[in-house]
Amino acid sequence: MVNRVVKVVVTGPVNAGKTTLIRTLSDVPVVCTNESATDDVAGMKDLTTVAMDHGICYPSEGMELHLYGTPGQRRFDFMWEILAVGAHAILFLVDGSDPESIEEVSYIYDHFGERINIPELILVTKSDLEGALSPADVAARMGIDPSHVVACDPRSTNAAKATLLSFIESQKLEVCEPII
Amino acid sequence: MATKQDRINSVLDELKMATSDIQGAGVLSPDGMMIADKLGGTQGDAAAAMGAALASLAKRVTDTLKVGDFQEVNIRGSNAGILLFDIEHRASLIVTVTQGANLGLVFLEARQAQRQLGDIL
Repeated sequence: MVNRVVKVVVTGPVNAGKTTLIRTLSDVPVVCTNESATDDVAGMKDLTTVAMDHGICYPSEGMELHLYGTPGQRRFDFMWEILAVGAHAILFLVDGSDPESIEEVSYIYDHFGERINIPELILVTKSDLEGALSPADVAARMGIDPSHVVACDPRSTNAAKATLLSFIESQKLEVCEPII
Repeated sequence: MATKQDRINSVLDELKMATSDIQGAGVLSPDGMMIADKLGGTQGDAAAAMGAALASLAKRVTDTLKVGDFQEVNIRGSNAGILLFDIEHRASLIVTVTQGANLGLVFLEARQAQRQLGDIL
């Protein structure tokens, strides 16, 4: 039997936890394009994704989730478009403790929204940090339906897998065809 | 004493002067910022980001397929060509060449620039 392949794009502002999430979820070694940050991002972290991250998750028999992480910076928006081709679902990650991250995720959300119409979920990360906004507050800031926004710790395998699987299940993604 | 920027620019100027087959040249950081732009267009920032993405992916491909250290990417379009050289994993040199360029000469000159830039950076 051929496995059903579901392509999931993971996007969001720089330093939201996209690469971490894919490393946590993937059941195979992750392909990363991490390079030294030389701009203001260097103040947040040493390495940043410049092309893509790719991992595969096998949540159940006969199903493969192919995860594609994008770079966060706007100058890499050409990669957002390349990686979105044929995607079944999209995850937007946002650092709930950083107002700039919340502002930027709205820009990225609109950027994808103008181009593709596929099931989406917003994951609010770093909720354990002081001053972090709740998913409901993030939804209000973004002006979107709060049922599409949940908190998720991308470092926790159990939490991340549970969040992704309940999303996939709720969207009946296992039966949809690729949009090419 | 010339600044680092001046020295990088003079290597790029010399490279462009070496042969008319070379149309432009630039140096970009591994995270896609233009360090020095002598490409002669308005697409510098896009070229820097795309060049960095290409170089990083090429590095992954050479690692995964075990063909040794990443050295260069060669893209041929129907009107012109684009070459991308690694500079000691700390930057990349991007060179645009004419259609039907004498690539032997271009490579010779580009490798010399690659060495000089490696010393400067």
